[in-house]
Amino acid sequence: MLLHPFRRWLQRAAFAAGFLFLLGFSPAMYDAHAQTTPTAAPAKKAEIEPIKPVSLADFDPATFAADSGVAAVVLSDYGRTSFVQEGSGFQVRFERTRRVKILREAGLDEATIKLQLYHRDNGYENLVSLSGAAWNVEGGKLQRTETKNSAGTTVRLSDYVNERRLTLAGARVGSVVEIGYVTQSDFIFTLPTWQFEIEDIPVRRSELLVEIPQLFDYAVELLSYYPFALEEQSLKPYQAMSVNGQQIKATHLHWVMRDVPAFRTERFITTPNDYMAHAQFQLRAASMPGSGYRAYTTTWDKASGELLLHSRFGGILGAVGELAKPLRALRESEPDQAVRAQAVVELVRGAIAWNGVSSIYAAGQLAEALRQHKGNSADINLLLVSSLRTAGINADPVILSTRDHGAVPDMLPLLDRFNFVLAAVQLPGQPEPLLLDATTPLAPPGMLPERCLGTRGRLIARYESSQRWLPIAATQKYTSFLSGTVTPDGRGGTTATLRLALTGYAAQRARRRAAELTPEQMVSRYYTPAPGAQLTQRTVTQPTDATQPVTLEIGVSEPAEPGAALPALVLVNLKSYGGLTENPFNAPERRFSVDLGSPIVETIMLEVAVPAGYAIESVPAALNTRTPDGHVRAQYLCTPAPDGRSVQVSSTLSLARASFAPEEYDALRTVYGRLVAKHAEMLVLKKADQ
Amino acid sequence: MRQLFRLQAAARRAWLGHLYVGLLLLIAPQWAAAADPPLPYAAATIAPALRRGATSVVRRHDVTITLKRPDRYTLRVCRAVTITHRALDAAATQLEVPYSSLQTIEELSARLYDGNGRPIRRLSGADWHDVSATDADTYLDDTRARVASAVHNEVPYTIEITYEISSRNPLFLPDWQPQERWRQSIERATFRLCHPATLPVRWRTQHLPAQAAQADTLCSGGLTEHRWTLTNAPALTNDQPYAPALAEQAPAVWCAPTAFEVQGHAGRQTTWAEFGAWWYALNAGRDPLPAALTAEMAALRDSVADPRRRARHVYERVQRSTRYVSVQLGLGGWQTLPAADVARTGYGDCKALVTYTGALLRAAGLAAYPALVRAGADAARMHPDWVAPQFNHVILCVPLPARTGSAADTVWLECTSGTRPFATLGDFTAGRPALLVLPTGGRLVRTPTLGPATNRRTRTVRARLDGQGNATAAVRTRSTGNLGDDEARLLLLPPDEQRRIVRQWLESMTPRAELRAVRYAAEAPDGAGAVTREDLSLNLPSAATRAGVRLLLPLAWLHRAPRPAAADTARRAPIWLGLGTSFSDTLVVELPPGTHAEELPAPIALTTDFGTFRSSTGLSADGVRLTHISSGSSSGGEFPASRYPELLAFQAQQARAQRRVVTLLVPAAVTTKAP
Repeated sequence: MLLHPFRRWLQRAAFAAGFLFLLGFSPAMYDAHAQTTPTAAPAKKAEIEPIKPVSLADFDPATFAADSGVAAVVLSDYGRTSFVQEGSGFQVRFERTRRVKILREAGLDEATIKLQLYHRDNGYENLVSLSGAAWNVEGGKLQRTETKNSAGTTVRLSDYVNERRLTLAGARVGSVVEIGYVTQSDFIFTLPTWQFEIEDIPVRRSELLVEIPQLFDYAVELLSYYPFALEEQSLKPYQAMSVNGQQIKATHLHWVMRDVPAFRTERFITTPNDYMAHAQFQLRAASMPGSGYRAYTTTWDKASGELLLHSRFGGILGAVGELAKPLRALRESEPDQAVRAQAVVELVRGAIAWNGVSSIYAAGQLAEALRQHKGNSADINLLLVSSLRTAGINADPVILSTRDHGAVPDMLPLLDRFNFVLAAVQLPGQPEPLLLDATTPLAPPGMLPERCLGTRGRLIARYESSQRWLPIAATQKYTSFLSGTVTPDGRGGTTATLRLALTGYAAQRARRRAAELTPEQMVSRYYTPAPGAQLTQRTVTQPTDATQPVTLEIGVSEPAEPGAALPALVLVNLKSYGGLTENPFNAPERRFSVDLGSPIVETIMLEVAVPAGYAIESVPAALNTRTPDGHVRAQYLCTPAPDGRSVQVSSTLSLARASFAPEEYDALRTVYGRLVAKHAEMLVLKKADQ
Repeated sequence: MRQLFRLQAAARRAWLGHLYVGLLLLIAPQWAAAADPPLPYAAATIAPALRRGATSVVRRHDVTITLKRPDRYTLRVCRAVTITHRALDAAATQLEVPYSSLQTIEELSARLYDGNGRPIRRLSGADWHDVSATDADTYLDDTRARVASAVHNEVPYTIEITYEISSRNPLFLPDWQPQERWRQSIERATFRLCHPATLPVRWRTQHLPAQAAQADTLCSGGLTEHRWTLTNAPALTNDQPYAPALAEQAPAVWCAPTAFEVQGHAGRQTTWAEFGAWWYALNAGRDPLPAALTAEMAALRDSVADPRRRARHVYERVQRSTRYVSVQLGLGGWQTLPAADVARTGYGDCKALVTYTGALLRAAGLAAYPALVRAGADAARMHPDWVAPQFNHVILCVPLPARTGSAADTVWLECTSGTRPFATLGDFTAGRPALLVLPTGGRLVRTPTLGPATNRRTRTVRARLDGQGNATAAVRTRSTGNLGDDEARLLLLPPDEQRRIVRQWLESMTPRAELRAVRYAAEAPDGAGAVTREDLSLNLPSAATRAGVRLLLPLAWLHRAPRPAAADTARRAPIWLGLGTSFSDTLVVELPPGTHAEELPAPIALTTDFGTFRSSTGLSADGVRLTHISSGSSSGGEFPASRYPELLAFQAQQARAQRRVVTLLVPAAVTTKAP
């Protein structure tokens, strides 16, 4: 059964008695989800049994019979976040106890903790306590070996991070280990993130309790593909303080998740963190006695306003430095706004190169970036917005989080979760804005970097009416076209000349690779000759015109065995000359959508010459297969020439969408697999009878 | 990777990179002067021969090591590297100067120059970061480093770094190897080694032209100075397969004091006996065990008479009750934790686990000696003629006395593995020099070599083919020696993981193969004869491919011939084939009824210095069963570069043989059988 994801951002009305808003997901859908999951609807607290002490049952192989696939099992992971008063301020106290059964040698890492503690300016994250224990069975009895904090050591990792390390005595394969610690931190803007689901290790029980005094308002982001065994929110007295004689209350958020399978990453996903169950917290507002109310994150309208006032965002909009003159000239000379916008992109690309850093905030002053001819994504694309405006084009910045950086919430303007900027241009007569980017050195008009695809961008505009989400989709495909000739010499040897032309995102990826690889390395990324074959030519051509394909010219030679008899049959397949060798969708099942970033079209058209003295004996049957909606298609066809001296072999693979749902995975995998098999099939050329 | 002497490795890594002597003051007046002549670091003055194949060029690399006393030395480095292709080797722009409790950075500065050799900027305090240099596998050590990223927007540009380090650990004098990276050429590099006559220093050079060494001079303070200069060395590239490590190919001078003292532990190293004696003394007296353990071992001594069985009993007890944790403290990682600590905590690094296991064996009435090795399957090899701490790991050597019915024997134990079969070594430690540490001093011996007869894979595929080309197959593979190690790793994995890895491997061998079952078992898990058995049950939907009235049946199932590299690059590096291996594959196919094989491939028998290959194909008398046997070996070892074409020819012959198919004519009735 497929589990449907639900991602919710719980927003608590500030300072009110807490209740849950389910944003971006209606309560009705949430209920429906609960009914379709294996466990029943969220349980009452009474039904959640407390964490049991370690017992002999934890050493019974039968307990872990179902866990034969993993190195360790988290038996219980308990976290509690609360607030304590420290002088005039507050600190976040985080208590955690994690118990793990080590099943195999690879799980021994669980017996060591490396706890990173930050400090910056006058703020500290302090370790209050740390200890651990290992349980083993000796002579049928439980034996507990304790390790105290004093056995540990602190390593200064960098100027801001110290790492406390403790490794447990007595831990070995088969042990149950438990490590507990308490930290107290001055940094209250974010609360410790809780991971209900972790990579490669199943979790029997994961429990998080968060107690937030009503002085604070936190945005809670909760993501899970699995149901909670318990999910509760209540209001309880906050013991530590009262304000003006009034007892303060604290919101208690309580979650328990049980029997979470090990997370296994899959190919074609954005980033594992977009899929693993977790809870994250960020301060929205605080109301401190004496200092009053302060909002940290509010509405998108306010966040947009703040961004536009920020010295390294809106504050640098408008400045174009030395580009002013050519931009004004452009405004006069080019009447067509679309053409003019593209010319501005080229101008900015020429003036400043991307330094590889992704941020929504400029690194420094524009003048400095222009002088160094380099800058981060905000330096460049905020300059692009300013330049477009100077050239008389209506443009606004758009912020987003790149694919590898993870998804962002809808309603809560959590600005620190964004890491990239694009420019949105409103062209006259166009209903939707056109998105532009100048960080990629060579790209055809309107093409956005691959790292942005499939995400959403927030338009940052002065007026609330224009602020909104813009989908960021590929305007181009990933296209490869392999052509060439394969010439068997009839003596057991073969030569081939291949030409691989890459356009769209295939070209963008190739250009990025070519910057870091020699032509020889580059060719080996795209083509592996059959065993025994040599490459006689490896040429990579990157035209300066971004609309032209990047091409790889490859010469292949497989010499005949000296003195060998003439072969009775000559066999040729596509697999040896650049065809598919394996199905990337090799996993039998799929939990998440296949997210490719862009549609894909891969075409092969090879001519196989029939050597003198040979005739075409047989060719593989044609293949023409597709998924019901036609969005995945595979075609394969061998066409002998009328004179019988050559065979044209053609193959097309087309994935017309960038994303396929888990339900579509089987069909996708089958179609792809059939084409892979076709590419392995042989053309048979037979020596003509003398 | 289990290593104990990590300080050495880290120090070498960093030093190799950024050595040099400061002559900064000489440069300033020159750029103040005029545009011509070209400034020292101008990229235009780099000779074309040094640009070829290079992503960076070392313009100067001036190193001085001054060893005034047996317990300390100073290292002064001035190194300037012109980056010509930043994207091709980004790591060349990262500066790292190591330090630790035993060595201090006295001076450190770095400057960037543009392509014309004009200064751009000096790296400021904010550019340098102080970080722990402990790698991710290490639980604890005290190596730290000052690091900086010296990136500039436009190439070419030059990074110049000057630093001085004072060290209280002359046991490790840094090597002088100006080419610290692949694809890096050398314009000019110098090395000065200064010491008093009373404290002789030894050295060993590698790949240096004869004129590199210059006459000794007497310099201030009565020190003798030895001097080497290397100019115009072309870049070395790592695109040559089967090539040794960079450290084995690059020009270098290694040096070592004859006498040294580290934290009060004085020693000499002119012979292996002396060095071994120092190590013995450093780690002596650290093996007392808790009384209960001593008593347990005494009981074992009395109850198990066979020394081999007793040793195995002790080894497996250690494997069950301890784990490896890398702790590189104590004299830069050279002094062991006491055996009693391991008994108490159940963990230790390789030294501590060797000390502990040795103590247990001795308490059980057996002899056991630590054996220092340079571990690693691909590590630069150790040179037996060079007496210096070339080691990074320690294992245990257990001589077993002769008994009635069995001769004297020696057993080698890897104490850091919880799973390795008793008395086996893998490619991490086998077949290399090892320094036995005996109470009487050190003795250089060799660990047992794993040759083709030991590293062996025997596979039998029994398959049934239908008229459509689909097959079901039972595959049994028995692996021994180093090849067995790879399989044994699979044996330890959870079944899910086994299936995943086998599936991946199958996918690369034969697309669309379906894995029905996989099972691993250990046969005779003792000594070098340990065998890992793998049983696979497969469905192969396209074992043979249809081509008209024929079925094309490949003969190499689940076997891939070595992939010959391109022959169009001139071979410079010697050929290093590593450990020898051998294989034997038997394929037995029940053919679909009514089909007949058109022509069987001719038998092949190849014998070369690199290895052997033979294959033969036969058909049963009734024509229903095809048997194909192929077997071969790789001799392993080292060959001169000039023989590379021969190796390629041998590999190409194998590759061609492996690509042969048997064509089966299929009667129409079978072809049209309903699916």
